[in-house]
Amino acid sequence: MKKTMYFAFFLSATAMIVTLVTYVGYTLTAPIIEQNRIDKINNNIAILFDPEEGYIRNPEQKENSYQEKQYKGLSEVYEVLNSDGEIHALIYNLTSQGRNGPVQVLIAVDPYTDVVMAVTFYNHIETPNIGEKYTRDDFILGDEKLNYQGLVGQSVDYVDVDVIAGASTTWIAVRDMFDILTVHYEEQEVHIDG
Amino acid sequence: MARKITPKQNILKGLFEQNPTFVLVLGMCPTLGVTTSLSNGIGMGLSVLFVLILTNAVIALIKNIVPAEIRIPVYIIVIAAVVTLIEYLVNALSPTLYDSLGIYLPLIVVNCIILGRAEAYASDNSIKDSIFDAMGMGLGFTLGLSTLAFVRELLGTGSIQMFGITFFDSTVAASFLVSPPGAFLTLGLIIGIINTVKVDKARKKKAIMDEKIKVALAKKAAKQAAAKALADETALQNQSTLKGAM
Repeated sequence: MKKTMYFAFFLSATAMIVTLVTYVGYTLTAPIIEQNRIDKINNNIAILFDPEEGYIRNPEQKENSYQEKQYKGLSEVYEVLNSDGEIHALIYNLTSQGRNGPVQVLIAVDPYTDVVMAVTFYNHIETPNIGEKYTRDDFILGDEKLNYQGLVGQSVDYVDVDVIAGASTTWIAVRDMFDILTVHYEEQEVHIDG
Repeated sequence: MARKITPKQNILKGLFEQNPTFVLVLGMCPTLGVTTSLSNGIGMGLSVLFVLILTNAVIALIKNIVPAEIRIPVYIIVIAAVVTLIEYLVNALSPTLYDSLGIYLPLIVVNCIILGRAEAYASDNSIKDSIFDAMGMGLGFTLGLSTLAFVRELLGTGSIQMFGITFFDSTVAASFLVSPPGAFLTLGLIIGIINTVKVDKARKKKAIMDEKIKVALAKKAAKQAAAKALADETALQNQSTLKGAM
């Protein structure tokens, strides 16, 4: 009994010491980690909307992250303000499993008209062959001639993703991300009148 | 008494003779999981290196005050704390690497190399020796992961990218190698090549030894024959001397 008590005390003391050490580590690194997160979000927004044109992330937006099963893959939704301080777009930061690894995408949605404004695949390791066609920015950003998949301009109610034979895994990853966006958009009643 | 090895031998042992990836086949979870790119492999290897050095040093330091019955839980607590600190550091200093390593970074806690070296080496040796053992094993693990990641990234994507620079670029790629089954295949092939070279080297070494033994035996036989001939000659001379005296 005495020995068991000693062991329990020893383990508790060890746990307390290491907790203290890790807390010190957390205190020192937490501000840097938070700053990195903010920088990453701003960089992501800057990919789609140029800050020099007055587009910024809404500084008053509450932190939002999603753990719910139906939003699996949705990291965050950023509100982008224009130079007049009004909401210009919502950016969905989504991740889905591609053929070789996670495919990360930013999808900008116009909350007034409910259409996709822009799409960019900012991180993926799909191989430079047919599968990559889904994730090539120059095919899907803005310009009608280059709008290969026709994602931009589609309504968020249902986004039709073109099927490319031989690259079904990447296609499913892209389709899944738009499905999550649609579910979130409807359930959270994101649409803004005006 | 165990043979004392020098720090250099300790490091070389972990790097080649007892390489955790290719010889001991330890830590297979991150080995197969994160080696899709060279930067991931090096990042994971260096993370394990730092965790190994710190845990081995701490465990060698506290080994005399930890009761033997509860040493494993204590080691795990120490390892978990060090891994948590490394996780915070990687997240703060390299968020991209942190995202790439994902779940494999916290899983270093249950990496068998860490607990294995703590139990098999650090709990019985001095702090200095334990640190050199950790350096050897950690560098060996980094070497293993980097080699595997280099082959997979180069052949699987057709290019090698590090620090935002593309070192080689080709449109031809065997994308299968970047997928999980490709990891098994590449690892198996590398282990196969290493073992073939090792067996070949051992065979050559054995052939040289056999030759040396053969030469030594021939020399011994020649010496014995010479000694016998000398003895026979002496006996013959003795006989003739005896006959002459009679």
